[in-house]
Parts: sequence; structure tokens; C-alpha cells
Amino acid sequence: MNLDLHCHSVSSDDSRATVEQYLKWIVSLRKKGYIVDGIVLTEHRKFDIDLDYTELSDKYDVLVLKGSELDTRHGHFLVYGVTKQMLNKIDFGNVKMDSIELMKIAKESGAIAFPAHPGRFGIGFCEYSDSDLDFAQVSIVEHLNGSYRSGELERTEKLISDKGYAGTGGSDAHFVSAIATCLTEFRTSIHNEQDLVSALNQKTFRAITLEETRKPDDVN
Amino acid sequence: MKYIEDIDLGDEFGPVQIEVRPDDVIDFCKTWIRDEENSKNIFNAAPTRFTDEEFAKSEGLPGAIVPGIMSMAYLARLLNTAWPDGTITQLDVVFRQLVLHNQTINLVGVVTDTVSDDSENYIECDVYIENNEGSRLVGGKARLNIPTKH
Amino acid sequence: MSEDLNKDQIDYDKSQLNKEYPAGSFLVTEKEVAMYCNSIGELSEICHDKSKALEAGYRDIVAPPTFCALFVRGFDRPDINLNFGKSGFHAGEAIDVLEPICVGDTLDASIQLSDVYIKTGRSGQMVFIVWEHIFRNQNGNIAAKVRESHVRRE
Repeated sequence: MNLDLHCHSVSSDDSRATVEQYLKWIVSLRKKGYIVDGIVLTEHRKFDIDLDYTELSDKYDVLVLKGSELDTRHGHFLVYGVTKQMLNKIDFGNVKMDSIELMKIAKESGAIAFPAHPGRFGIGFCEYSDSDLDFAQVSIVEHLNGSYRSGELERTEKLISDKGYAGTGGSDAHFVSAIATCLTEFRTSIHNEQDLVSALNQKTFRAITLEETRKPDDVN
Repeated sequence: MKYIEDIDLGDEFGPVQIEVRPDDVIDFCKTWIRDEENSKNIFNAAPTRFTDEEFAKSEGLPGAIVPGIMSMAYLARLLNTAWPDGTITQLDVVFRQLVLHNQTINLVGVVTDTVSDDSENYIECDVYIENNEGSRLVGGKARLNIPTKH
Repeated sequence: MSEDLNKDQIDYDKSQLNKEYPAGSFLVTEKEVAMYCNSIGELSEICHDKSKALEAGYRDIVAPPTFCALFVRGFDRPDINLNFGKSGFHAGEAIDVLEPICVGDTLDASIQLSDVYIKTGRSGQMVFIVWEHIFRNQNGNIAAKVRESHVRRE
């Protein structure tokens, strides 16, 4: 099952894509032979627990889940399986939150948090991973990210290699045509956020590019 | 003429390749000159990050840069070239990386949505300015009204 | 500057939010439209040739849709007394084109501060300042809306 674990809709200030446009685009990708099963919206610094994408998801037969991308003092972090309990304990708008505390509260709440685009200069976890801080809770990082600039993927891969982390994939799309350029392939079926957290904790996944999802018959 | 009925999601347009000539950037900046009685918008003749290499470097930039609104104008040109019978109604651009003088850039776009019903006929597109390595320096979303056959 | 700065804690004159100010009156001249088009390589005939523009149903040579952004460049913006950062850059620009803008048009502009918010980027904390500008033509119709985002960095 192939999910884009990192994308932003117009709910994020710097995105220009609506959720429905992403889903239409995924339908057009499927017609070209690509296998994309769903997306996880990771809006910047927010989480709307009441937003329900079921109708859109059913209309286009694309799984739509919700997560968040938070700014922390140790780089950006992706969060999946956000609960009311977690929302009560963490101010998602705090751009200088402690990532160690975030990971701890996420785990206690049944969610999971890990570094987004760690190789990104300035706001990636690579800047902090060798500090004196105790990042023992980190075991997963985002490996493939569709918005990497020159040198950033190499930094990420070195981090993964050095620390033995598992790696996810996400497009980090802010525009329609960027959705699903990078994905995470899961070995288990995922129907909701709880399934996603469980599969992430089990580490039954790998990062892939869109090209890798193409059915063999459709190549050429 | 291109009609809405002939356009599909995923249709690509461009590339339009441009070598950013410093003289063009300076000419663009000169259009900011306004007649004094017309407005307060007087062109500042002093060197700026857009017109002067050394001044830009003194501001910590790698060199003189293209103004954001000129990058946006390039993207409007791409749209007008690709859809000469269309009318741009929205263009929303995010400046992600610097566009420098003497840089070769490619303007590219793709149709991301088509809407055609009794009341309106329009397309939405993603448009980008890319460098020669394919990095997206500027990204944007546009909406254009497109003629219909009906 | 606070270590835990949130949107509500950004130090600026919040009374300026959504307050509309007049920003001047602008005549669209043939010379400016020609310079603008030539510098970006815009070849559309209706932007260069009055007869072609009239033939296409316009009242005069048509300015490219992004033309209004030029005027914004020269606006005197109200001082919002933002206490953050030293350097800045232009983050984004959005234009809604509601009516064609032609040579000979006179545009009355207004400006208002529409948002101030904070996020972190490759260069650290950044405060975004968003201004909205409305251009009304000589007939009193809104011809264009221009939204401009600027960033101040730590």
C-alpha cells in the first residue's frame, strides 16, 4: 500500500493545492499506471480534529488521513495519529517547542512524531542529531522528500546509515502536480490513522519514488 | 484556438527558456519610474539588489537578483504563450529560491484541473521557474478562463 | 526576543490589521506597458498593438495581467512597528484579475495589512507580513487585487 505521508493543502499558508485537486491528480496518475493509494495531510503547525475528508475520499477512492508538521527547536517534525489528548498537551503553533517532549507526549497519546526532511539545511534534524541532547526516541526519519535541494538527500541518507533509522517517503507537496512524487510503501493495509501509527511503529515500510510504483506491464 | 473541451488534466506546456539578461532586469525596474504628478512611485536611481551586482553582494546575496514581480511576469508570459485565447484571472506565486542575473531559466507548466459547466469554463495550472538542474526556484498556481465550443 | 514566540506574541502594531488606507491614483501609460512587455519578452499582440486590442474588443492596448504589481512596489506602507529581525525578502505575490487593465485607465489603489504570522524556515524564525491592495478603475469597478507577502528573518 503506497501512501504519500507528507503534503500540504491550502490550509497551510504556503500551499496552493486543494485536497480535491490532489485526489483528481492521483486519479490521473493511476490512469498512467502508477499505484498511489492515499495521502496524509500534514498541515503546518495545526491539526483540525473535526475536519472529515470521508466524502472526498469515497468520491475518488483515495485514502485521506490527517497528520501535522510541527516546527520544533530541533527542526520540523511529522506527527501522525494526533489525538485530543495530544492537542490538549501541545501548542501546535509553538515554533520553538521541544522535540523530545513532543515525541514523548505523542507516544503517550498513541501518536508518533519523527523528524521531517532531516537533511534540509537549517530546519532539518541533521543539524541537531549529534548534539548532547538525548534523541534515543528517534528511530524513524523522513527519508525521501520531494522538496529536497541539492545535497539534502545525501545528508539524510548519511544520517540514516550512521544511526540505523527507518525511513519514510513523502512529497512535501505544496502544489497539485507535486503530490505523490515520493511515497511510503507499507506491507500492511492501512485504513485510518491508528493503522498508520501501528505500521510505523512496526517499521513495516520503505520509502519509494512515484516511478517505483508503476506496474511492470506499464513500463515502456 | 484551444477550447476547454480539448484540454486534459496533466497536459504540459512550455518550456520557455530565458537567459536572464541584466539589461532586461534593469529595464523592468525602470518601469517603476512614474511621472511626479502621477504618484509617489518614483524610481529610486540608487543601486539596488535588482540592478547592481556589488550592492546585492553587500546585502549577503550571491549576486544581483530578479525582482519577484518580474518572475511572476515571466510566468504570466508563459501562460499567455501557451493559452493565447485564454484570460488569466488568478496567478499566485511563491518565491522559493533566488533567480539571478545571467541565469538560464525554464518556464514550465501543467494543467491541474479543468472545470466546464453552464456558468464557467476554466483551467487551473501549476507553473514553475526551474533552473537548468530542474530545481524549482519559483512556483505558482494560475487560473485561466478558456473558450468553449458550445 | 522570546524563545517561544507564537503568532500572538509577535511585537507589532496590531491596530493596523485590516485597516484600509488610500494608496494613490495611477494612470496606465503606453510607454510603461511597452517597457514592461519588452523587458519580459511578452509578445501578445493585444499588449503591443492598439488596433489588435480594439479588434479583440478591448478599449485600448492591454496591460499584462501582472502589471498592477508594479504600482505596489512604490506604495508607502503604514509603519506597523514590527520588532523582529533585520533582513527581509519578498516571499510571494498573488493577483486576482477581475477586469482588463488598458492604457488610459486610471486606477485608484488602497492598501491594508491582512496578516502577520511566524514560522521557521531554513534560515530560522521568520515573520510573514501580508499586505492586500485593491485597484479600482475609473468606472469604480475593482480591476485587480494584489496580495504581497514579505518575510523578516532573525
